[in-house]
Amino acid sequence: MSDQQDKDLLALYRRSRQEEPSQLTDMRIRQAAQKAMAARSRKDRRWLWGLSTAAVLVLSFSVVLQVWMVQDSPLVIQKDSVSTSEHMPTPNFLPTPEPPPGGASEAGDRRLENLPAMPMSAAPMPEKTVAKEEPMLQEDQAEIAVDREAFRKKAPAHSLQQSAPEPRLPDAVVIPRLPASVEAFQAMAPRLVVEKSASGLIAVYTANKLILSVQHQPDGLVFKAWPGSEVLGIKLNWQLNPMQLSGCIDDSVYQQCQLQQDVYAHFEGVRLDFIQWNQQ
Amino acid sequence: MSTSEIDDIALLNAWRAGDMKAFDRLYQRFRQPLFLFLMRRGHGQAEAEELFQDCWMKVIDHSNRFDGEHFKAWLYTVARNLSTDRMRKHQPELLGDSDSGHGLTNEVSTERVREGEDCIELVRSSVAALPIEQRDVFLLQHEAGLSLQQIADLMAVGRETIKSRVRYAMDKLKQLLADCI
Repeated sequence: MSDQQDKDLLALYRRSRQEEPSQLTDMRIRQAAQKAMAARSRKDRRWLWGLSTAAVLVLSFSVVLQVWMVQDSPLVIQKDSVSTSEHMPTPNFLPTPEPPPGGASEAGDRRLENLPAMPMSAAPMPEKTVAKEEPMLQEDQAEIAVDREAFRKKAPAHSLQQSAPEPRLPDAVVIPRLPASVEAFQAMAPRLVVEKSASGLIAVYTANKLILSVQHQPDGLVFKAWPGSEVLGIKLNWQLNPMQLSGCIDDSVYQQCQLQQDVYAHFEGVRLDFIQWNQQ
Repeated sequence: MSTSEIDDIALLNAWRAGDMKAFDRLYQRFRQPLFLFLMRRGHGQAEAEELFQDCWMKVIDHSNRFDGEHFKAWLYTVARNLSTDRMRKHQPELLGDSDSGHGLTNEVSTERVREGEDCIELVRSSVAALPIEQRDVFLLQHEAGLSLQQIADLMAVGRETIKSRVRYAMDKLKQLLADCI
């Protein structure tokens, strides 16, 4: 009974709904909405003009920078393939050449190259979590000492002009000889998480973060290392990221720019800097 | 969020992006209910039109600040606040006490009840006779189509309070309109 009365009451209420605003009110409101919309699009266009101008400037600068950088040759880091227990010779930070007349290129070069980032599907994130990173040094680690004199002696054909200011050499870089098996990595530091995919790619994680990958290639092993790989003995000044600098224009940071020019790695969608090298 | 609420947001966003037809659709959707809400709340035609226009001006001016999910609730909050401010200034007697169910009531004549027009007029005056909080709840539920929870959020009271007010309002209206239903 009560429900039916409620229904009847509401039906009666609905019949009473007859009033409406006037057409003049409708028109005023619509005009205001149109004006607001027009004002908004004018503001957007102004903003877009500034943005497009800025974009053109940035693009132009990038093109100029790229052209300038291409004029200089890329660097090569050399490391002998002999046992690392011996004192390592000074690496040659040589630009890629014009080969000297009658000369032969050195064997066993290591190159830092821009290669595409490792596809994440090849190195799935492990479920295990490593709580603590353990420092680790191998006996066969070698320190590559950077010596200004040695640099000069071994780089007579350096493309830098004599009149250019002396390049500032990078901080000490340590790239030890590393194993290429899951067991060996696991033995280095038990808390590391090491996985090998079906394609043979070895991925090393610490604290859920990818720090190293190893891939067998026909010409040797290809290593990639990310920040955090210090636990494996790799020492590199990750802070000197050229992409974080205003630009690798200044000759005083020339060497550093060339050393650390790869910046488009990613891990689980997070960009990381990495370095890559070949190991025989 | 209901389908219609998603549509409201979609229309609002489309208008923000430059589609005037979207605004027209949104406006048409709420045109009469919002106007009736203001009239039934106790304002005359002219005052209700003024408040109705003010409400939409606020929506137009502040639409970029609205990033919620419930456009309808926002719209009626604006309308209610404008109405209450106006009443406080000019008709404070309309903002009577509420929950006790003993609020100010306008006198309603039930002597002359005929089918049709008088019942219609009686409905209008009966709603106007409800205490303001019960009137709001009734209108927000049956004119605006808000849920009990949305009404509770809008009026900043508990859901059970809203349910009580709904019950009081319905009972009062049935009493006043007994001859019409």
